[in-house]
Amino acid sequence: MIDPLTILIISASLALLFFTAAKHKLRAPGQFSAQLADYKLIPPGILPGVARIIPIAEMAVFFLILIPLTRPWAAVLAGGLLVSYTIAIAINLFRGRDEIDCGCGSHPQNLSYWLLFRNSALIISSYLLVTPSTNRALVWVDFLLLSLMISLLSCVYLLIEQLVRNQGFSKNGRINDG
Amino acid sequence: MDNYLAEIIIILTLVVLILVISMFALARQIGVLHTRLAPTDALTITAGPKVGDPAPLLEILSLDGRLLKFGGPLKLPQLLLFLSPSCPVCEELISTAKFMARSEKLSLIFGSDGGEAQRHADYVSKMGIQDYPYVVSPELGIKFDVIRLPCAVLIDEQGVLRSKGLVTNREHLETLVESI
Repeated sequence: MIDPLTILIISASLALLFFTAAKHKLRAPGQFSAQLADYKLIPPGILPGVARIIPIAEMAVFFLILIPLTRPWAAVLAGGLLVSYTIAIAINLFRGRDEIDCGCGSHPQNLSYWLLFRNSALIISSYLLVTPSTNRALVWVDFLLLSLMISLLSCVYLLIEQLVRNQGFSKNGRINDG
Repeated sequence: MDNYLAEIIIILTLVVLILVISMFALARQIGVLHTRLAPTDALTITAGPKVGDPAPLLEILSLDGRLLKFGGPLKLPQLLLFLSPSCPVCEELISTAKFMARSEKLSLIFGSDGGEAQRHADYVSKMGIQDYPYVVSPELGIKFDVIRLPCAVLIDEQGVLRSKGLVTNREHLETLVESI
């Protein structure tokens, strides 16, 4: 049993994450299908279809996770998407192809083990949404904490992304992007 | 939730938020510094013979009358530095090129296109590069498709063109030589 505030914090943060992810993919569909092809996992025949479905599924997560009635389904979908990304990244890391772009966001980012940790944390949090919550009435303090927590989690996410990019700089000694 | 607990949690969350934002700012500054300090690759020139192809075979007389062979099997990898007496950037690269030739065991050759022979001879003594072959030949520049100076070309012992590029600073020349 978890507190309804935790459920709200997780679902709002995941909604934000999936919205930005889908936005990048919808804005540059050609780039995304090239990134997807680079993973060398999907047969070329169905690649365009998969490249079209993934951003739509991410958008669906964004909408459905915010509605209490559909939240568990959206959480399962989100978890499934994250599990498949993680497997794809793990396979390519295992193959030693860590120089490909992960396609995670606007900045080019190479594959690394940290992505597996990040995705595991996201998977665990999305499956937490399926667990039943206590029935507590939310008061105004909860909403204040909710907004603070969402901004805190987004900032932590950005911070870790930046640190990983810095690590890439020192490893390669040269620039991948500006 | 108790009122005082809620207050404390809100204050603490705000403090953590401020800390995280400042850490993010610091991390960004480190990223910016990385991009500023990162050495850039030798600027690639796409025209002319391609990297990985055999270098053009040439035999040219150097300024001091030695017959130089380019391409084909060689004793040492060749580093060709194209320069000109009228190019100020080239002067700065000469000492780097000499240093790299010594440390990496390369045979360093300076190349320049036409012009008065006397001017080149003066330049050679002024720069103190009498020990290295100096070629004055428009043909050499044309064969390697050198359009801008200073340009460096690296040929390995098998006579294969290993790298080629516009080199305007020490880092460019270093990355170019490292590609062997």
